[in-house]
Amino acid sequence: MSTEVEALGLDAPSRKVGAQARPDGVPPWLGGTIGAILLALVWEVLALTVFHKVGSGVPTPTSVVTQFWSDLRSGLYGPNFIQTMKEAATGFVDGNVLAIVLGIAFVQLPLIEKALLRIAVASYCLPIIAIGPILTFVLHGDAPQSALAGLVVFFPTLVGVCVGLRSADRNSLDLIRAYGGSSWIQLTRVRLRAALPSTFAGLQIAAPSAILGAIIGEYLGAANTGLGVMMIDAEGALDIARTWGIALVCTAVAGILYGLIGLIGRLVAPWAPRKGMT
Amino acid sequence: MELPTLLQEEDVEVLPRRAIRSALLKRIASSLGFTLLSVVVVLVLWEGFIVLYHIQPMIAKNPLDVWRYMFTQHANVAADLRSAAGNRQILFHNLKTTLRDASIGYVAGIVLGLAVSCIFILQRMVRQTFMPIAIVLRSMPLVALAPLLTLIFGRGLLCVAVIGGIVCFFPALINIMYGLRSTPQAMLDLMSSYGVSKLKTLRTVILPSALPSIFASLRINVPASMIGALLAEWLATGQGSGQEMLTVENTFDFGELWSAVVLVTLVTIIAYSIVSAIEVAVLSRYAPDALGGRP
Repeated sequence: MSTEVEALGLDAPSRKVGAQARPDGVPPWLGGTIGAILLALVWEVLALTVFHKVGSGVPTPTSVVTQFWSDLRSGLYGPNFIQTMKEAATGFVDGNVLAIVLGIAFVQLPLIEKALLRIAVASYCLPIIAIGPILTFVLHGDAPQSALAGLVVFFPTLVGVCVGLRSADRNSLDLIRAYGGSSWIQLTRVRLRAALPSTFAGLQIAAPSAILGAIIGEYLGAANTGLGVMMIDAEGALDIARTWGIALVCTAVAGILYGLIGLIGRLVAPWAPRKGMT
Repeated sequence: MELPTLLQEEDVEVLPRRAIRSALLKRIASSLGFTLLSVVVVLVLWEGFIVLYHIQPMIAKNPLDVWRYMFTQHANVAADLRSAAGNRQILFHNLKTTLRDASIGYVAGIVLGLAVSCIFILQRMVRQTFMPIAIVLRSMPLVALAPLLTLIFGRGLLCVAVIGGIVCFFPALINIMYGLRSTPQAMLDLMSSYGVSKLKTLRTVILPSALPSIFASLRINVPASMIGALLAEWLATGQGSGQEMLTVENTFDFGELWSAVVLVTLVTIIAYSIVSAIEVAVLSRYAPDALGGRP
């Protein structure tokens, strides 16, 4: 789900001490490729043996790919894909802008944090599946899907921004204070820059979440196009290979966006320590 | 000569304790005050949302409607209304099911996440092969997969465990892995120079230093497990609060829907706060550095 950034935030102090990337033998893309091939092989074998009965939900990877290719060529994906991305992008931008503005307000004016933090946590605890139907009845067009996407994105980014702004170097802040600088100058000169890595960690996690939010919105039945709608149709037609294909496309797009935003974050804040994940 | 002893005996002991108590009371009071303020703000936002968007009264239920639905409504056969007690019975029955389902997914996801990340730490080859995939799969839209999982795992508790487990597993895995890998290199070098086995290093050094990450995943998985449970109920088992969301499209009992949303949210917030409090208590003792900056 959406929210590992809190852990990233929690780790921010220790990251400076320890977690430098250790030399690993294999680059992640190579290990990942080998892993993906292995997984596909195991899946193929399992689908042909254990799960090989009519009506079971496991098609072979080859049939999924074949189905995907023919769907792609017949233009089934194009409009649905664009629709879902549009909804997700709107939610992504709205939710994150709100989160960043509020995060800055939280750090600059502690009273606002005290008053609104609980509401922010509550927004994170709202069951999106449950409020989906309400939003569907209340809003129109793309709005319910985008609203869900924005809601999912909001809290993790907020936490990322707050943790980042607070991770600013104590000495630099004190220096500005000693020369009579206001907290506004502290913000613009030191804090915003310090907040970049952990903000990008939040945005990175937000991208897959936004897509998930949009798809849940479509799934709840307000939309006419979109990958979620396409999936409902595929399931209704018991076209399991197509359903898996759509699920994999969603996963792939989410993964690509995750990687892309990570890359942008690294370009914008090259001083940030790498996560040493693989 | 007696006075100083008295002071030493009594006041040195009592004064700090009294100071601590008053500070604690003050903190609790301010925390309660801001919680109350938050509740008021939420209620105003809720009412404002309904008024602002001109939502039909049949669909939109304001805080008062939910209160009436749960506490004061009388049965009325003509208007097809249940009594508040009846409503509560249904709501709490569903909530209990959802809580059970959420706990199953929560435990399954965390235990699996912890186990797999330990294997990943001990076996570098396995980690290098599967960790990149886990990062990509974390972005998997689970709604998309839930119906497929019901085809494989049926519509029983097994499916609840699988869906809830998947929802909780990937965040747990990635968080815990991150924590396990941020052990200071010097500590690891020390252990290996003393010839300590990998397993013992994991137990004595790596796992304790990952405590902040482990607690973070315990906390952020609380809402995740609720979502997983609702998802499983909605798409697989057809029980609990998740199923309430579905039936409302047929019964148009929006009072039930809004009340269920309120209940589920409240329970999630309470559970989240409990885990968060345990986290702060444990970390302030074992990893005080890790608490900085968190809002």
